[in-house]
Parts: sequence; C-alpha cells; structure tokens
Amino acid sequence: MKRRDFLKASAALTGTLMLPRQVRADTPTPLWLHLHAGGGWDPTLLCDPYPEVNNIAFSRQLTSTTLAGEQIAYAGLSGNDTSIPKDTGYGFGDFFETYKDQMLVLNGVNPQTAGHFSGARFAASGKLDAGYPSIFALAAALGGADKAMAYVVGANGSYSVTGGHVAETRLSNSRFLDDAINPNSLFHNTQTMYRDDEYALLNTAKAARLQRLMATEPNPERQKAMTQFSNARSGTPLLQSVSAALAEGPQVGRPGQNNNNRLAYNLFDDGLRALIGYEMGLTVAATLNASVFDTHGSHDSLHPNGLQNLLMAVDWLVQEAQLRSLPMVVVITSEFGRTASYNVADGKDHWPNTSWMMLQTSDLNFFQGGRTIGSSTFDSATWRIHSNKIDPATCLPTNDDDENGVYLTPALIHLSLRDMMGIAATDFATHLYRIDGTPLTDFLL
Amino acid sequence: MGLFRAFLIFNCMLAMACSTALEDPDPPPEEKKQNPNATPDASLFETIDAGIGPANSGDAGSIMRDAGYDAGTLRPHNDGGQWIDAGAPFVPDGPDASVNIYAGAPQKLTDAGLSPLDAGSSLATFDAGPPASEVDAGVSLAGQAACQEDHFHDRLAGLFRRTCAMCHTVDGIAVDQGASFVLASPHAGKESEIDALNFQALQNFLNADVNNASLLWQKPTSTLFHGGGEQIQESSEAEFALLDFVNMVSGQMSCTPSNLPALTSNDLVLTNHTAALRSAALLLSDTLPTPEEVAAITSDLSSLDPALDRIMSSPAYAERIAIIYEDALLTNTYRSKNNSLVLQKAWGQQTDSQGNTRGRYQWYKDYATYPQENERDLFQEMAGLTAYGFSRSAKELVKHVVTEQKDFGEILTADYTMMNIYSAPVYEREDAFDGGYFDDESYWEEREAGFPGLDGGPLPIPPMPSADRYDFKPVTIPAPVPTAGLLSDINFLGTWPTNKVNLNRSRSREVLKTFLNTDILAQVNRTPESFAADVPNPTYNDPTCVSCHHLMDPIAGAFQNWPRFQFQALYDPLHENAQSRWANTDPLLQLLPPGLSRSDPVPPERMDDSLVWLAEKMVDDPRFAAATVRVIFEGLSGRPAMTQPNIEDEDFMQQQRAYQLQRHYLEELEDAFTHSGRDLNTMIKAMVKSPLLRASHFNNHNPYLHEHFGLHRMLTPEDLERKLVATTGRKWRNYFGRVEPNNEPNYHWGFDTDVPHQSLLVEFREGCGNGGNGCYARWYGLLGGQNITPSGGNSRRLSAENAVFNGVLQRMAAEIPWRVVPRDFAIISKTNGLFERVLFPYVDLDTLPTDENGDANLANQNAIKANLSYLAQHLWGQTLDEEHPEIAAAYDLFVAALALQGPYLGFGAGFSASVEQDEIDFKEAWEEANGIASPQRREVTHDTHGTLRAWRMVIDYFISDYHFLHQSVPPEGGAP
Repeated sequence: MKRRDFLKASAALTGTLMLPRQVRADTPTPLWLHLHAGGGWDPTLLCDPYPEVNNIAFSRQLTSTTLAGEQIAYAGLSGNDTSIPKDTGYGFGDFFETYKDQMLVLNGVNPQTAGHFSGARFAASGKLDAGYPSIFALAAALGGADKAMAYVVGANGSYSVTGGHVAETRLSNSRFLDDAINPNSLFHNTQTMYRDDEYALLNTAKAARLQRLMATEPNPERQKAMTQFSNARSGTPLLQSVSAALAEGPQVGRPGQNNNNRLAYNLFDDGLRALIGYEMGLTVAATLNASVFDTHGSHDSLHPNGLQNLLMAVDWLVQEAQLRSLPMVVVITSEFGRTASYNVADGKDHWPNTSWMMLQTSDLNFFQGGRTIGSSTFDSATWRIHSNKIDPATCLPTNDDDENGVYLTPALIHLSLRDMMGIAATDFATHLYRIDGTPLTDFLL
Repeated sequence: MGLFRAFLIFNCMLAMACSTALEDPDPPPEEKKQNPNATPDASLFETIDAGIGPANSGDAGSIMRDAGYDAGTLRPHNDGGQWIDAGAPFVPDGPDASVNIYAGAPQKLTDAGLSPLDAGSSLATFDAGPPASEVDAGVSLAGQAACQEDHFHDRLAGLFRRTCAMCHTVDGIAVDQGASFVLASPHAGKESEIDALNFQALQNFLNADVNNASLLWQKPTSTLFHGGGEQIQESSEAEFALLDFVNMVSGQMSCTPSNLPALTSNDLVLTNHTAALRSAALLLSDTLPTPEEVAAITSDLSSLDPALDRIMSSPAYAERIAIIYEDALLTNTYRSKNNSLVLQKAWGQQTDSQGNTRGRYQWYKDYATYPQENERDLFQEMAGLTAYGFSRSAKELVKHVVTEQKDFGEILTADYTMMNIYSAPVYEREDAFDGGYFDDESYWEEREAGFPGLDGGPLPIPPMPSADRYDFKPVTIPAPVPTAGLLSDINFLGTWPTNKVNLNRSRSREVLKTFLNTDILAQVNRTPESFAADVPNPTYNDPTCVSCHHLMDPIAGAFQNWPRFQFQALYDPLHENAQSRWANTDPLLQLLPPGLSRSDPVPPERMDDSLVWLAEKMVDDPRFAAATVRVIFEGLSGRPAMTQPNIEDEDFMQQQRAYQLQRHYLEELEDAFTHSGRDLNTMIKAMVKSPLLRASHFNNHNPYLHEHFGLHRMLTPEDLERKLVATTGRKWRNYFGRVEPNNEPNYHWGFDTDVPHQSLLVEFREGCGNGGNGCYARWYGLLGGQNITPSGGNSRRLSAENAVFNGVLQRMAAEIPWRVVPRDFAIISKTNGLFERVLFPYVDLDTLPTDENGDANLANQNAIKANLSYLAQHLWGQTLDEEHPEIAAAYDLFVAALALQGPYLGFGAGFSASVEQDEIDFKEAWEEANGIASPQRREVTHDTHGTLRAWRMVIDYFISDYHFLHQSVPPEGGAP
C-alpha cells in the first residue's frame, strides 16, 4: 500500500468514528434546500459586516443573545430606508433576530477561486475540479432517485450536476402542468383521448415492454438511462397531488408583489414547488439560484436589494415550511465574495472570501444555531479582506501562522454537510466522490 | 493611427482585471469610497478560474518527502526510505544559483520548444547519472525505451501538456524569465503531436539534476525553487509517475508495461452500415434513408456517402449544425423582442467616441403611430420580426456557411452578417433586399428626410409584415465596421460581454473554448500557494494569474475595438478603452498586445480590424480543427469529448485508455477536416461512420468506454421533432391547444407546411414567455440561452427524463397518432403492392385478424405482423422478424385494443382526426403548388372496424418507447 492510500484509509477510518447525525431515529429527513447567491454576494453587507468598505451607511449590529450564548453580527440595514435603492422595506435585523437560533453563519469561507463556474461548482459539490455532482443531487439520489421530483431545480438553475444518479426536474413555471401530468386529457380534463380501458391496456403494455428492455439491455449506459426513463414514467401520475396543492397557493402571508420584490417572489415560488413536492413525498432536495449578485457595476444600487430579496424569500419559505410542519434545512452559498474597494464602474469585483449561512426549521436540530463559525480580517493597509484560519478542534478563529489551523473551505464544509445529510458513509463519499479530510468536530454540534 | 490615438490614452485605468459581469450598467462615475493609498485590488480575480488557496505557502518540501513512494520494480533501497541520496542539504525556498534554469534571456526557441541545450549552460554540468544501458535488467534497450515512452504518454503527457505548458512554452512566463525547458505550444499540432514534441523536448532534461536528484522532479514539486511554485503535490500520483519516469530513464528502475493495455477497435461492437446510415439521417436531418439508398449499401463504408450527401443537403441539416453552435455559444440569449432591443441599441441609439451614429436600431418606430389596419399592433409585430432577424444572425451565419458548403472557417472569417428584411434597416442595409415595401420610393425619400412623419407629418407607405422572416441573406455592414463572422456577431458580443475591468476576457474565454479547443477554466484549478499578493499588475506578475492571462489576454486584446459596455457591439476603435489602452506603457497598467498569442501579435496595420486578423489566424490554427470536431461531436452525441483524465483519480488508467482511443478517432477527424480544406461535411461524414458514434456494444468492461462511445442519450426537443418529421411526416403541433384570450379549445389546424417553424417541442408560443419558448420545451430541456449569471445551470441541456416532461412525452405519443393514423390510412394508392403510407403500408382499415365468423384470418394476421415488423424498423430502427417476441407483444396489444372497440364500432374518428374531402383538397392543392405528386386519398371519418383506435394505440406504444425517445444504435443482427 502506498503511503497516500494508507493515509486515505486512515482518514476514512477516522471518518467512520463520527456518528452521522441523521442516524438518530427521531430526526426526520428534511427537505434539503440549496439557495445559491449567484454571481458572488457581498457578505460585508450582510453577515460579515464591514461598514468601512461600503458607501451605503449602516452599522455593525449584533443579534440579541442566542440560545448558544453567542451573537451573530449583521449589517444594520433597516427596512424602509430611503438610502437603499429599490428598498423593499425588509430590514436585515428582522431576519437575523427572527432566525438567529435556527441559523449557523459561516464567515471567512475561503472558496479558493474567483471564477463563477468553478466557484459555484465548489460550493455545490465540495470539489473545485469538475466531475463531482451537487451534494443536493446526491442527497436526492439517496433519498429516492425514483421519486417523481426527487431533485427540483429552480428557474435560474445553478450548479445542479447530478452525475446521472437522479433526474433533475426543472419546474420553473406551473402553467400547463396539467397537460403534462394528465397526458390523456383534453380541454381542461373534460375529455380524454383514450377511454379508461384503452389507457390501462396501453400503459400495461408499455410498462411490460420497458421491463423487458431493462432486463435484457447489456449496455450499462443504456441500462442507466432506461432506469431513469422508468422512474420518470412511473412518477408522472403522482404529480397530480403537486398540481392540486400548488393550486391552493401558499399559506404564508406576503406583501404585494412589485418590481422591488419580484426576485423574492420568484425564489419563493420555486421553493414552494419543492416544499409541496416534499410534502407529497416526491421531493428530497432542491437547488435555487438568486443570480443577481455579480455587481461589477452600480454595486450599491443593486446589491442591497438583492440581499433583501434573498432574505425575504428564505423568511417566507421557512415560515411556509413551519406552517405546514415540514422539516427543512436551507443552505445558502455563494461562489465567492466581493472586493472591499469599488472599481471604476462603482462596482465590486470578485474576491475569494465569502460567507455562507445555514438555517433549519424550528423543529430540527441538525446543527446548533445561534453561532458563527469562521471569521475574516479587513486589512485597511491593503484594503483587502482575508479569510482567517480556524482551530479544527474548537472551530474558533486562530492565527494564520498556526500550523494546525485550517481555512474554512467549501471542501471542509462539505465534509460536515455530508455528515449531516447522511452521505458520509455512503459509496458516494467513500468511493465515487471522495473529499479527503476530517469534518470539523464542532460544526454540527 | 498610433499618433492620432496616443493622446486618447486613458488615465483612469485603475485595475488590471478580468470581470465577467453579464450585465453592464455602466453608470456615470461617482465618488468612490476607497483607500486612496491602496493598490486597486482583486480585479485579477475575475474570469480566470484559478484556484486560490489559503495563504499558506506550505513547506517547499524536502527530498525526504517520499516515504510513500512505491518504486515498484525499482531497485531495492538501502537508504532508510529515501530513494535518492539527498546529498548536501539545500535551501528549499530560494533560487539555487547553480541551477539557474531562469538564467538569462531565452534561447532561440522553436515552436516545438526544442531549443538545443546550450552545452555551456549550467544544466550540462550536472551529473547525468548512470546511463540506462548500465542497469538494463535483461529487457532490450529498445524495449525499455519504448516502454518508457509509453509510460510518458500514459501517465505524464497530460501533465506536461496541461500544467507545465501553461508557463513553459514560447508564450509562457517561464520562458520570459529565461527558462530553457520549453514545451510545444498549444498550436504546434494535434494533441498527440504535441505530446510527441514534448517527449522529445524532455530528452535534454532527463539527466539534468542537482543535489543528485532530477530537476524534472525537483522543479514542479518545488523541492527546488520553481518560479511557478508547487505544481505537483507531494505524494501525489503525478509525483510518483514522474519519479518512476526519471528512475527508469536513469536506469535505476526497470520499466514494465502497463497491465491495462491500450484499447483498440476490437473492444467495440459496431452497428451495421444500414443502421449507421439510419442513425446518421436522424442525427443530422429530418429524413430517413430511402429504400434505394439502403439497397446501395455495401460492405464499403463509402457506399453510404451518396445518401449522406443527400441528407446533408437538407435544410434540417444546416439548422442542426447551427443549433449545435448556438448551444455552444448561447447566442440565442437575446432572442426575445425586449432583449434583442437591448443589443439593437448599439446600432443607432448611441454615438461612438467620435460622435458617429450608425444604424437605426428601432427603425420601425416610425410607424408606431400609424393607424392600425385590421386592429393589428403593427409596431409590436415589426419589433418582433426585427428582433427575430437581429437575434438569429449568429445561427443563420452557421446555417449559411453549411448550406453553401463553404470553407467552414468562414463562420469566423465571414465579412458579412446574416440579415432578414426586418433586421437590415437596423444596419441601414435595406437596399440589400429587393422587392417588398422598401421598393417604394417614398420610403427612401422619407428616410432621406429623416422621417418627418415622426413629428406629425405624413408617413410613407406602411410596411406590412408579410415578408418571410426566415429568409436571411448575407449582407455586408457598411464601412468602417469590420466583420469577422461569429466573433463580431452582435449576439456573440452581447452574450459574452466586456466591461471596464473585464476587457473582453469572457469573449476570449469562449473563443478559446469553442474555436481553439482550450478550456481555460479547466486548466487552472490547482490551488496555488497564495493569493492577493501585493504585487503591481498582478495579472501579469502573480503566478496565480499569469499562466492563464498569457493565453487569454492577447485574444481578448484582439476584441479591443468593441470596448463598450452598455453597447456591447458598438465598434469604437477610438474609445478610451480600445486601442489606446493596449498601447499603455505604464508597467502598472500595461496589457499584453492583441494577437493570437504573445508570439503572434496583431500587426500594427491591422489594429483597426484586429478581430478580422484574429479570425484569419484562428482558422489556420490546428486547434480550430480540434475544436470543430469536438463541438460537433458533443452536439451529435450529447456528451463532450473526454478531457485529459486526472492522474490522481483512482481509476485513472481506465479513463486514460478510453481517452486515448477516443482521441485517436477524434484526431482522424481533425485530419479529415483539415485535409479537405475545412469541409465540414467531409468531417461529419467521417464522424458518423466512425466508431465514436457507431459503437453499440463492447467487448471490454471499461466503463469509460461505455460512457464515451456510441449513442445513448435522450433526444433533445429538436432531435425529437426531426425524428417525428422523418418517421411520421409531422411535427407535434398545437392540435388541441387553447387560444387566448378566451382560452377556448382550438380545433383549427393546418398542415405542418403552413407554419413550418411552429411546434410544441421547439417554438411553442402559447405561454411561459422567455422569448417564445413554451413550458413544454423548457421542461424538456430546450436551451434558453444564457439567461442567468455564469454560475447558473439552465445553459445546460437536460440529459435524463423527469416525471414532468415524461408527461409531456406521453401526451405527444397520444396526440401524434390521433392525427397521423387517420391521415395515413386516407392514402390508398399503392406501389409494388404496398400502400404509399409512412406507417401502414401492409394493412388497411379492414385488415382484421379474424373474419366475420371469428375465425383466424391468417393472411391478415401475417399482414398485421408484417406491418408491426415494419414499424419496428421504421420507428425503432430495429430489425425484428415477424416471430420476434417484441412483434408478438405488439401484435397482442393490437388485438387486445381491437377487442375493446366492439361497443364503439362505427363511431366518428373524433375531433381533429376526421379526414374530410375539403382537407384532402387543401392538401393536394398545397402539394401541387410545391411540386409534390399527391397520392390517391379517401375520406376517413369513422372508425368502422375499430382499427383506427387500435392502431393509434399501437403507434403510441411505439413512439413513447425508449428506443424512439432516445438515440439508439442496434448492433449487427438486430435488436439488443
């Protein structure tokens, strides 16, 4: 055995000593909702606040003490602030104070890239290189690749590579959904093309034919495709429950829609489809994208509104899930952060330090909320923001010269996410899509 | 020109950056809150996808790092775990004066990177170690040499080509700094040729060492100072492969051949020639091979060529190729009316930096107030038709080049733009279109007068949108705007925008990827040791950035004359961000000169049309052939060509074997393309006949072989539409749709020839917006262009069914036979005893399996089975005889379906299904007008025998099947 293999084997052994949280019998498997802040958001305006690097005036606020006894910092942008262009009226404090105990903030995330594609890929898959599926696709595959809408992808996509383990469902609009889920119907289900006995005969014959094909196909790639074809076919009739529930609309109250909050509405609508799919037992995970944050120009005009919309959408989705008593974990990622300084177009460019956030519905305890892991440092001499190392044993910030310190990279976070989502012990993590390393001890506590 | 523009050098350039914003608000400058003393920062972290590691440079390593290195057949060690005698310690973090690999100016270098090693250089003084011959362990020297070369090609060639060559070529920073180790440039030839050149280039360095250890190992591992830092990580497979290699070459290790032999064509089971032709027809067009073409097929693959020539002369073929490029470049991003208007504004709304205004971006606004006729919203209609013409110019260019069978390089070198009669006025080229409403003299008089009607005066004769919006022609944009095919196409420029800090780099990235087979984002995901180093002009001075920028920036510079942000396609060579910016000599702001590469810059006299110059150079670059082959391969197969596998992967050698075999076939196609004078059809004919697409099954369990050879993807919406046309004669149209605003059922229908570009699968316009692509199409994975930021995902086609669009496909399978079956049975003329029908040549509506007494009618049963066998071939491409179990199953379905019809015999055919005489008359008049001989037809209005519904169910069964909805290449002998 080569040394590297030995080390890998040792690491894997270490990993197995950690009990995945999902093995607890009393913990329901929630909807895993991935919301990507596409384009690279600016955490200095959000959960890693630096007023000094922003033209928009705000104060660095701390939440009131949380259950964890810690406090979470946030940008004190209040609602109805006329200085915020396109203000939606949604105050950041509303969000952070409401959800502080359900929230884990990850600051000083070091994405190791400043490229959109690779950053989004790294955030979703835990691997900077190409080739790994989104962790949410893997969760969907484990939770039921044969489910009708196992992995829902919102209108604007994001990194949603599935590795062929599950089919993604892009359901960005519900119009004409009835046409798809009732393929025999005509004219608003008032007529059908086939009579019932004909339709049953035909479907039986089709199913038998597909079974014969799957039983005899020697080509593994076609086998895989046939399996997905079969799953899709058996899933179509199950979508009727989703359509009916969508027709009833959301339970959460929302302010009227206008140009300033349209993004929040769109994100919520995408998320609602996933929530209802989950409620019907058809959806396991979803990926949504708020792709408004690549503000190379007019940063101050565009970014605060984008953040307001994102927070509002999350707020509404968490409320909706809780009203429906549905467990849900939201992981908010971004491919990188933005520079401390403004460019000549009044924009902020890409910068490899960012923040992520995780929220869970109030009935869950997948991670201990009310905390912030990781930190960054603003260097006024160079006008740059750097990710700080953390002590892997305590998750507390440590000195950059600390040889035992580690940077909070997407790969490191994904080790914990895999643990949380029940992926760590599967073939996906141990063989197909390995991420070497050990999860942070206190990440999920 | 240079002097004239010198004064325009822009002083406020603050960043040497590479952003990729897709939206370029380009606002007026405002006061900035920024540290006045700070170097403008971070703008380097833009388009480049460079991995940026935590700021821990780590230990440069020591040669004791190798406890895990398993030398395999290496001679036994007696050095306590160190395979190399470390000798005296050395300083790992500083340059070793005795190893001045960066010393002095570069040697005179050839493109092959094979500068003969200077005998006087320090390298030549190193102990070369024992010659290989001294340690030969019984294997012939020639055998050892061949084995070592194989080892290089199997395990190291990719490393040198992709990693080392980022800096160690004539265009790389390492050579700038004096490195003598020079590898072949990316444009030196095909990839295999580059590998061979690199192997040759290595020869001079194989025995170079210091501290009694090979430089080839010490440099990339940063054991010894390496300007590029650590490129090969400690204890990585790459390091082990390199160590093996230097040990083999130095004779300290015997080379043993890989235990995973190379793959060959013997590992593939190919489909037969007939099936290959059918597959090609469906891949490329909306037609099937004719019986005559099938009959002409021999054991010689070239016997397929006449049929392929016919197939490739169809409009569907040109459309197919154009969509492949549209998918690659996402040039349909701005296809909606409003989005197109955003780009149109570059033509007439905005003046260039010299005050020139070109074009009339909204020429139809002149008619906005004209009294509407027939309550038509003429303005909106004209806006839509203009947007159609404007936004399809890139796609139409590819179609034109393919249709006219031009040198395919013309997609880049074309000096014209594709326009329809509605988009031509935007470019002020209405004169290019004869006839139509622009013939009216008053139009030109009014135009000359600046359309005073806008101020309330009389307008000329209104244009009526009756011209064919699909009729495009090549038109030259008036001088001085140069045109370079797709490169200067407004939709390409708009989709891949520039901004003040991006400086055309996203365009460069796309050019490299799609036209030069260089995915720059895939080159540099290694984690460098540090980021944000406070160095001036980090783009060119920080190792993190420079390797890619050296590749990317000259090409970005060639786009210099399209520098505008809100108006992406405004040619403005005198703009402050255009040529003058590249002429900047300030070291902090300097940009690499425009060119194809650093060693191939744009000549001074071509600066005004640098993009045209670039296009001319690109099409002659071997990478253009490689890129073209791969773009087409991905378009046809639905999967990208394999990229160089990562040696760190557990199953690297399995991947590598599949990669090598695929590359072999791809390079054959590159040769076909190049040697034919860039004739795309020649290359595609070779591709559809090659094992790349003909592999059906395998004699080898290598999973990458299965994944990357043959055809097995789900059909795209466009594929399915073409297949429906080829096999049923019809697109799936809105047979049962609803019509806004009253949402009434729409029973109206027309022959598909009436509106050739409408279908539910591709251009369903009833809802869901997004430029007219309907929900069905989007659910099914039709691309909507780049409607998102680059981190998004809907710019990628779906590859597997989901439950939602499976429902769409089931609906399609039910609706198509509803329409097609009675219309096929309406045809009653025969040829050679068979009905001239596409689906039912062997049976008629009264062909029942039993007679009136319930007794078996064997003749009819055989006819039914013969027709089912025909359908299996026609719809599935499978040769199944009448006794085959699948034919028996289909027969059972027909009989069972027929049995259900007893109570309903004689009922009407149903809405939209009944074929009546007025329809027949209409159809035959249309056929006559189009020079088509009409078959003899009859009315089909009732289901007298129940066969109409039974056959509908059978056709549904066939076209909802996996083998209809997916690519399918059966092996020799029939069904799998």
